[in-house]
Amino acid sequence: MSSPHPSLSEFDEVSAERTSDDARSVARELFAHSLLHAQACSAREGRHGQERRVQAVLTRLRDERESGGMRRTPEPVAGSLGWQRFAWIAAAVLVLGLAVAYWPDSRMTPAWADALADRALADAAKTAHVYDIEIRYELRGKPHRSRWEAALGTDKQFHIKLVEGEVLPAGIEFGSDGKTLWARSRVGQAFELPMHDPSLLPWASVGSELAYYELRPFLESSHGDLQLRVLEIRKGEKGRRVVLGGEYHREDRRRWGRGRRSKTTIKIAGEVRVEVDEQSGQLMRIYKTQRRVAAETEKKTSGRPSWGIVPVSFDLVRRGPVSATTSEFEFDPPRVRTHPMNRVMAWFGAIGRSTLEALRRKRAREAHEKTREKDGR
Amino acid sequence: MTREADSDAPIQAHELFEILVREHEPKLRAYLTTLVRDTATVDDLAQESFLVAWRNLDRYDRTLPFGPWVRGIARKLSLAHHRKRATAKVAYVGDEIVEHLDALFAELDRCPGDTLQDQISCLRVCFDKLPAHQQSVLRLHYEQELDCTSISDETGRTREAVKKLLQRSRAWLGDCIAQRLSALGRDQPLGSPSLGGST
Repeated sequence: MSSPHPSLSEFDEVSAERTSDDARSVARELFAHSLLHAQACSAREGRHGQERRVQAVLTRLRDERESGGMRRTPEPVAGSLGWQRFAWIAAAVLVLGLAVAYWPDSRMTPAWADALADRALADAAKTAHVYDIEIRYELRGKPHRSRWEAALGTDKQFHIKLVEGEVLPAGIEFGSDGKTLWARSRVGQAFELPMHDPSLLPWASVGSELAYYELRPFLESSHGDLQLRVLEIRKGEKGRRVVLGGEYHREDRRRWGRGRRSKTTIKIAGEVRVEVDEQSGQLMRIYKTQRRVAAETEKKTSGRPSWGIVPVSFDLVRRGPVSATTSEFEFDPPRVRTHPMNRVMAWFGAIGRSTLEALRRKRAREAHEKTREKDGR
Repeated sequence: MTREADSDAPIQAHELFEILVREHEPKLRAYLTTLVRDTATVDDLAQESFLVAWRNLDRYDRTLPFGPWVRGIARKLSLAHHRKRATAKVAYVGDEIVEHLDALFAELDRCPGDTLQDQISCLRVCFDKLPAHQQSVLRLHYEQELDCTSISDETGRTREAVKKLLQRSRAWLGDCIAQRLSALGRDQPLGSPSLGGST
């Protein structure tokens, strides 16, 4: 689904070896490449290829209109489907033709286009995408289940609610306005978490729509040797779904207990299945399992259970887009702000802990070297 | 674009947008081909660009050309894509190159023809000027989708020689097309106005 066109990968190879940094020459070569590629694609696919892609765009537009996810629906334009359409086109042709004729400087990127694009991108993201998540896990041989609702907005905004839970009480909420994280219990007031950086949440930067082309590199990079492959294509009422999947193996290093810590390498294996709408490329469902296959412990210590070793299944299903202004989900609720002094203290605490940890490692290293020297003598 | 009470059936904005999508899809994909290498990503970003444009269509000033606007959106989306994939082997081409590309595509807009294929046809003279062996290698590479190794097997040249030949052919073709576009722009300032060509 995402294998590069052979000619494109070859182009990369050639480009990578280029030593000249003449931007104009590079641009011209890329331009020639794009036209050659477009010409070849057109000859190969004919009108069917373009029609398929246009239909994909139109399907997504239709989905948006039907789901009411759009912030502002464009005004319908009056007229008939007959001659008036062509009259409109003719008028547009004339206006746009004149606009091009009096183009001020075609060698520069038009500033208005840039400004409009900026505004369009800023406005595009007034839609949040809602997902239902179910997590099943086993703790001390007992199965548990929790259900979450997640709304993802743009700029790393999110709002997650625990709908049903056993370990954590249902009703607990977490969220971010893209800058700070906050939490809220079922009955309490939201409060800001002092020491959390939203950018540390890798999935938050994947994007609200969880488009397959953004999700795939994230999934593959965070799941060891995972390589997603097309397993089947399902036909449904709302179009075709591409099912991709693959097994993965990765290693996890966790620290156990406090004080005398030891490194544990946990070997984890599992499976990832992804369902993508073929037309839109949007993620419809992701199912993931993980289990421990082995752990190599340097020194056995007691400690808390880690999610890395608990058998877990994770099932995320797309519910659909909603307006980001809906009251159901909020990214930036009124909340108790963290006092700046507390924030500073938290930072210092973190720095202090890091420093102590670095000193501890240094001492351990020195002690190890001394032992080796003694053994050598 | 005024409302008429006696209209048989109102033309919806999405119908008009469909026309714009049909007109601009091939050229937008060509533009994105210069910015990202993966064809699936090109398709996805093209789709996303139109979607963003659609969501903001009511704010769009229809007296201004649609092409540069949607290309501007595509450029920013591709930049965001590259940022997200910071570890990817192929990096973003750079702002300076993209500016030149924008200018070249703007000049292509002025080229006579209703569709991208028409516009490419009017530049075919450049391809015809290439020596036969260069034309042959380009055909093998683009039309038959052969990689350098396969072309080297086919033509008896070394793989390195094929790579260099491809690069030189594209570079020459790029220069020729740019000069021709510039000349066309001077000779035919209006080109052949059309919704696709002029926007």
